[in-house]
Amino acid sequence: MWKIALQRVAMLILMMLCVSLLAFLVPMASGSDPARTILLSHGSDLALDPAQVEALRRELGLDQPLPMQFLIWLGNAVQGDFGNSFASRQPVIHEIGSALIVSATLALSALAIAVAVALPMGTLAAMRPGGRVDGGVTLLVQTFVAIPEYWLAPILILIFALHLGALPSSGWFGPTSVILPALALSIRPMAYFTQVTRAAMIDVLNAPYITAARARGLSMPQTVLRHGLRNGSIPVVTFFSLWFASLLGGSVVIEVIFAIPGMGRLFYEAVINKDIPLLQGGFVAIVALAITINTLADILYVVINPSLRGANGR
Amino acid sequence: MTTDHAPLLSVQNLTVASATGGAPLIDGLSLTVRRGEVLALVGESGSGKSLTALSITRLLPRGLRITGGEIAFAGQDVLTMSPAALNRMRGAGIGMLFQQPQAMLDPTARVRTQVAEPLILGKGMARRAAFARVIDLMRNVRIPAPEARAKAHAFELSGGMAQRVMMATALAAEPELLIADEPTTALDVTVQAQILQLLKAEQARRNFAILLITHDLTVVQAFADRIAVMYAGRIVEEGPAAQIMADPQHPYTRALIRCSLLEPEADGRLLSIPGSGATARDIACGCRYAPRCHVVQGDTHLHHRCCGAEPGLIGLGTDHAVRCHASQTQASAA
Repeated sequence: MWKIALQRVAMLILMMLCVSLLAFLVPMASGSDPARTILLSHGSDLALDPAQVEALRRELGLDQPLPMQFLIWLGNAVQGDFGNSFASRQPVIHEIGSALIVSATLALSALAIAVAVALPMGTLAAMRPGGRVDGGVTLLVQTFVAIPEYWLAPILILIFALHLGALPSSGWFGPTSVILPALALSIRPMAYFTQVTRAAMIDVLNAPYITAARARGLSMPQTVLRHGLRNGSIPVVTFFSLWFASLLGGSVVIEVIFAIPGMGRLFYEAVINKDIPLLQGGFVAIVALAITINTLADILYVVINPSLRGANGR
Repeated sequence: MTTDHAPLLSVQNLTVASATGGAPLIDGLSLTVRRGEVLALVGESGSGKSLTALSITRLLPRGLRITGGEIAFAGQDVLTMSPAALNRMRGAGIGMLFQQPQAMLDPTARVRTQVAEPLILGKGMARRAAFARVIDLMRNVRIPAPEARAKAHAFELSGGMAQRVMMATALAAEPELLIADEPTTALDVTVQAQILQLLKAEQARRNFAILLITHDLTVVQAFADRIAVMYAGRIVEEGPAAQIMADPQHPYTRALIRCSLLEPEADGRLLSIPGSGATARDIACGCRYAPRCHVVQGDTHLHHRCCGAEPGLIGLGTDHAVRCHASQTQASAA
């Protein structure tokens, strides 16, 4: 047990090291000189003073050989210091922190909506595969998968913000401003979760223990609630964690349409501004969180189904 | 033994078929279980034993349906019961045991959650009281350290222990009938005996009836009051256990008894019934057992008769009936 845990931690550390090397190098590959970029972004003067550039290069440690630069960056990163953003001159960690909270709130709201709709829909479809409900759900799922967010988002704004005036059309201030973007973002995961729930529940509802539960007098709804959903939810947990990790990186389209200061927009602007420290820090943060979420999902499997204990420790 | 005259369970001319059509899987099956008695339903796999059990509790898998006949439990028509009445009947009226006890337990739920369900959901007992009762129920079926086992999950139990848990669950709401579908087939031989003894002891103590479904006649011998032998979706012989074991009338029953007692033939070989167990679907003509019947082979007159028409179930005296041209001829000749 402990051996497996230790192996696992060692793997995670190794993985994070590789990731940080990539995170460090990839933004560097843009080929532009960070010192020139910074100076250009600060002033409109196109003719830069070479001495000034050189001084800044030294200040940023860019005169050091690349491996040395990496070690210095890594040393700081371990202490939570990813440097300052070139564009805003704020510490990267603060920029990422506030954007992450926004993106995580948006992602969790969207996925909560998706699960809340997908679990009952998928379960209802699975109770009579090939039946009328199943056909309706399948049609709905196919429609949802095909709806692009950049189309749905403006439609939602038109209906709920402009026409009904019930919800704000853009910005990020309080719970009401989460609803529309979360709704727009939920539609595709909703479709996938429904399909996964349906497939899993069809399997589960054919299991012997479901017949046994019915044989001791449980009604079909009682059986599904008490013995079906929990067993059928394991693949949903997998999908949930994958979607959560990917949505943490932000959704550029939704964040731009609704003017939300999340990770998607932060990254988008960082790329435009060639903001190397922000790109490096953001990359590391996203990957670290994705790994954490994955590990939490692994633990959750065992909580849901204790017989998987041991089966997961490769 | 108390023998009330109205049977506890009565199945008349039950027919079960696939929803997509085709020949029926159970064809005109009739049986009765009286209060407090043990009826063994014996037959090979594929003969329709398990489907009979699932038909009685209306739990047939999707795609199969009851296309004819009548089922009455405690005087009520099971086939026209409302879903709510069916749920009350399952659990409170009829408990069930199955072949693979571990697969019958929800892998994500604790043992006590499942054992308590007939009490909490069926009888409206409070959670705390029900959990306390679960410990008693588990102790009744001789589960050691019931307090710890109550909190265990299915994967932490052995097959025998899981079957005891299933038994505690099935008996929790004090049903009048227990349908046990091959309850010991998947267990070790030593455990089989323990489970059967326990079943017998509980039955003697609480006086419920048992419909025991099995392919193993050695199990039946010490256990059943009456035996019904099933072949290809039909009852071929039925009667008091002692009488059938001592003096089987149907060639199939005779073959089954000799097979399960592992009695060697004159030449020292073990007996096997030629051919494979027929389901109700592969019936060509006449008696369903005729193609495998050793009595029919070599008797041209009988061969003609057995392949021509299916024999009816004819009474041979009190309670004993057989569906065979050959033994009926003998009986009438005697």
